[in-house]
Amino acid sequence: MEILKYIGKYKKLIFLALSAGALCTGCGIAGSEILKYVIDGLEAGTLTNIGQIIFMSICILIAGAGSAWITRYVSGSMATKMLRQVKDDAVVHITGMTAEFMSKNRSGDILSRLTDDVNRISGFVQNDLIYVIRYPFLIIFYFTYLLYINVPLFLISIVPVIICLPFGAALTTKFKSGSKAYMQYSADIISEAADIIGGMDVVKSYSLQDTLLKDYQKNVYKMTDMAISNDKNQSKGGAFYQLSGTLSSILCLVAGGWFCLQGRLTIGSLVAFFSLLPNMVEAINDMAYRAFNSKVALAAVERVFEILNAPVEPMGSMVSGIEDAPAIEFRDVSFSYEEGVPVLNGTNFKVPKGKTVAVVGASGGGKSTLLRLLCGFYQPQNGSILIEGVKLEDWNLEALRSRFSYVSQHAYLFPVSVRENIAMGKPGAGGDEIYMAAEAANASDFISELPEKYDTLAGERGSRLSGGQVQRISIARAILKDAPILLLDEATSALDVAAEAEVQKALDRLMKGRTTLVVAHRLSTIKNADYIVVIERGRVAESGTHEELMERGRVYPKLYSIFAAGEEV
Amino acid sequence: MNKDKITFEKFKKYLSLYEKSGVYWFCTLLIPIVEVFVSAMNALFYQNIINAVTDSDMILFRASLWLAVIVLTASMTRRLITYIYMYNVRQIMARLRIRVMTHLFHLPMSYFEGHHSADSIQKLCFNVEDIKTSLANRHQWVINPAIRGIAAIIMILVLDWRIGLMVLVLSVVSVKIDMILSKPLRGMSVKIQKLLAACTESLTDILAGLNVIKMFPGTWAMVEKYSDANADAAAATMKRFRRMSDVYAVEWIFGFLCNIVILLIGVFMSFEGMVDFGTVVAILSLQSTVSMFLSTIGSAWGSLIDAFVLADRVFEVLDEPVQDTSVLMQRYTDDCLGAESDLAAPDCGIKIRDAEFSYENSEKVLSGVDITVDRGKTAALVGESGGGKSTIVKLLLGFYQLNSGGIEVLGKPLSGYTLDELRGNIAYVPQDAYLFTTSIKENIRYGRLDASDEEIVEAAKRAYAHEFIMEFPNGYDTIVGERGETLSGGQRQRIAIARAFIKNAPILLLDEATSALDAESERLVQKGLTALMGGRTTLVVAHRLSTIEKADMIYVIESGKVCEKGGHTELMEQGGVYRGLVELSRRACCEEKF
Repeated sequence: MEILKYIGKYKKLIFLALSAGALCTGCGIAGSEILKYVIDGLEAGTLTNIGQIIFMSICILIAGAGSAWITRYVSGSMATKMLRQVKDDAVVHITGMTAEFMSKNRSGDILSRLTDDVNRISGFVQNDLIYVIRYPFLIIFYFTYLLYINVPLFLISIVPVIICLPFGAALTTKFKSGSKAYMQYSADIISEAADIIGGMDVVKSYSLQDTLLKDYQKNVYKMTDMAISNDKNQSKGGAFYQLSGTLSSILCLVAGGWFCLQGRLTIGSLVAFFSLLPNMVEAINDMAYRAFNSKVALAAVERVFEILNAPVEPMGSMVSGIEDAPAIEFRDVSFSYEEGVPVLNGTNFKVPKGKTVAVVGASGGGKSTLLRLLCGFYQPQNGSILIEGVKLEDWNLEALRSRFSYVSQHAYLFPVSVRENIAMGKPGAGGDEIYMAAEAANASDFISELPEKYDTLAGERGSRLSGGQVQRISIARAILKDAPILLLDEATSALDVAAEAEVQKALDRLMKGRTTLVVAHRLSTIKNADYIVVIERGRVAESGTHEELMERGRVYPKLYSIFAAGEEV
Repeated sequence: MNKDKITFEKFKKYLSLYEKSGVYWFCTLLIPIVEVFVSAMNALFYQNIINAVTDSDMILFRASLWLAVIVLTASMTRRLITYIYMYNVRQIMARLRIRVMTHLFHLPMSYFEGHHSADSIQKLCFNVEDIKTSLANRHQWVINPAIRGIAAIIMILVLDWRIGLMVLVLSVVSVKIDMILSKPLRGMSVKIQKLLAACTESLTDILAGLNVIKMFPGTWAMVEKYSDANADAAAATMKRFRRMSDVYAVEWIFGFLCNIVILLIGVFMSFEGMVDFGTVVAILSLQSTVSMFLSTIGSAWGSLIDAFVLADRVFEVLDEPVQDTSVLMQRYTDDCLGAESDLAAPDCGIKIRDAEFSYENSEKVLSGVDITVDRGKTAALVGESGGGKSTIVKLLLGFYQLNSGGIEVLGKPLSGYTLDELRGNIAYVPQDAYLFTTSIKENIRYGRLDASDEEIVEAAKRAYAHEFIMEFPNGYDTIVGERGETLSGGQRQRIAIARAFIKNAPILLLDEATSALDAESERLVQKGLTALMGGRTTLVVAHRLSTIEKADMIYVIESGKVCEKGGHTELMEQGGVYRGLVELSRRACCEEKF
């Protein structure tokens, strides 16, 4: 199990916590031992060394309190450190996860694993772990002590434990799988809630509150039923644990009493044992409770580690390409997001260095997919993609991605300042570079009109800025990145008329001297391209320059007339 | 208000969180009582069996066996009650979750624009889950040891008042010390909660911008931000552990001392003949309950205070005033729309008069805006981004209220509508066509919930979406991914248009709906939209020249004001801002033509 790797780091601390736990229990036993000595001594009238006894009691007290402190603090701080590490690692891992995994697992699910489930683990660690460490010692001690006092007494007492505990344990296993299902379901509900909160404007404008609420209600009640069925298992299991504890104590007393009556046991021994007995019953009963909690925590651990074990993007080791090779080459590339629904079907084309290639075609034809494949978000099922002559799978992804500036149709800004958002293009970029990038993206004018200029916070999904402003900031970010290959995806389409013209100019500037692959919708972009690739149903239908295609093209002239009609009346 | 103080009002408000929960509270009290009964029977059993042994009394020995049976039965009953208790906890939780969600649904749009979505999710899901901890554990942690401990002290007093008095004194002292020690613990877990919430927000951002993070090395700052928030939360947790360990050690000492001291004294007294030995053993068994009470009451009290403060975070949502969508909007707007009731023109589709608006505490977004759209006509809003066009759409949807001025829809002032009525008259196609994670069919049906499957197919056909939907193996039952990410922009847009179609409302609001499309699907979307606009009053925030030119009336909005209005040709002749915009875009599109 993966978790062992994390636990291994804290071997010494765990050992310390365990020894302190043992010591703490031992002190409790030693206390009873002194007690027994005192009682027997008083009965026999031989108690003389009172000073010694007091001294020992104080020693036990100090050792007990000290080890209690250590057990608690060490186990708690160790777990906190460990969980922090796990969370950090998980987030780093997430940034390398495949897009496929991400699209299968809704973000609400991952969110719940890293919050709810981690909280469950840390709740367990804070409240239960110390007992889980202590109880085995405690119970072993009690039974050893019992064994030492009287063997038959021990044998009689342990019978109920042997009979009942397995039933309880079997139910905890059932409980664990039920808990895991419950966690998954509640994560789904979180995703659902996130979905609704994200689309609140649609919800409101279509008055969907009542319908969605009914769905939510149904799901909440299903989740409740799952929880109740888990509770049922827990109660049943708990009953077996309790039965074993209570029965064992009763049998022990009855048998012990019987032995005393027969004179086979001194009252002193019996009383000393009685002083521990309630603790033992308590321990066994409580262990049931902790056992169930630890199952919840274990299920949560599994869920958290499912993230850490999720496949990461495959990566090669090449960090640079071949000098003379074409910048991008698609060789017989086939790809589908879902089996049976091919998006690309034997796509072939090249983008020479320093040239601009425009991809045109119907929506859903797979154009945006080309760019996603290039960025290594997905892997083609067939064929290969070469970037600067090196196969995609041989590239180190970080190096590969540093070759691209990708301007996608969904511009995303982080809820930090505009400056920081732009600076993400180039770590350590100076103020001047940022201003120049903003200038080049035609964003500096509106930024300087913002209330706090470059320090204005871009809201969640940039919602405090208009669509055009978000788009321009993301272009500034791409400009600052200054990568040799530019991937453009319908980037300018959400801009208003005035800004669009300016951004178009900025992009033209950006494209100069750079290899550009653009999913194009603008007449000007297409006509400015050195080469046009027409994609139809996942294949390259035809390619060539604008003039060539207009002359002998089958699909292109039709597309062109639609473009022209759309833009100009 | 002092956060540590539990006032009566606060207490009442806290209890109001758990409506209709009589059985729960009954069980909460019953569980410790049954436990007290079990331990009393247990003590009695111990006392009798020991006395039977010391006195060699076989009758008493057999009688005590019956006590054992009672102990066993009672402790099994306790399990059953615990189950009923948990059952009720789950029911209360279900009601609470639904209540918070219902409340969220009825909050005005301004709430969602003003709060990070992770904040709402945190409250709806994770903080509500904290309340479950209060219900299932925190209340028990306090009530249970208190009842059991006090009962045990009383029983000890009854068994022997001298020892009882001593136990009482020791208890009072140790509770007092415990309370003092655990005081810093209070509020600590609330602070941790807040730090964890920061982690969640940061994580939400990372998940939403994952592809950007992959492409830009500079975005590593976001991962570091998460890591920092995580470190802060961990540091606060460690600090709390430090404190807890202190309390724990002291509690251990007290538990130990009480046990030893009471036992030694009891043993002494029994040898002096002041009390019989069985009683001492019985007291000892009760003493373990007392020391449990002593050793937990301090931290339990702290965690109860945490429960109050954590409940406050849920109240942050529940206390937000809701918008009743079935009440005339007058209730919200009466101060600024007094003179709104002049005879409405029946041919008026949308009329905005002298509208002034600013978002909370910020600069004016709109000032003196006049817009009229006649019934069945189309008006286009154009102008630079951030000029206030989207705000006009939000105002028409009743997401925000004007500061002054008036809006009429279909000849009736907005204040005469309920929000439900108003939104029932409007089909809204937002800028990014938001789809829910459900089937395509359901997404379209959200336009009108009682629509039949045939109507849905018909609407999809009219929105030019039918063809591509049928190409999916599951057709209309295809589940769209989170936020519709598995579909292309054009496909999403057309589903949103189909949704508007099926709603069949007299008024259509389009917000940059034609953006982000490629030529082919743009053509289809345009055709769909043209069909949708037919006979409807349409207000469109437009970026496409073709859309703008087709509009009956064009309003050029600049810095929150209408700076030009009129038909396309009219405005072109005027040679003002509009002409500049058009020429700019023509030049950009087609400059190489000339």
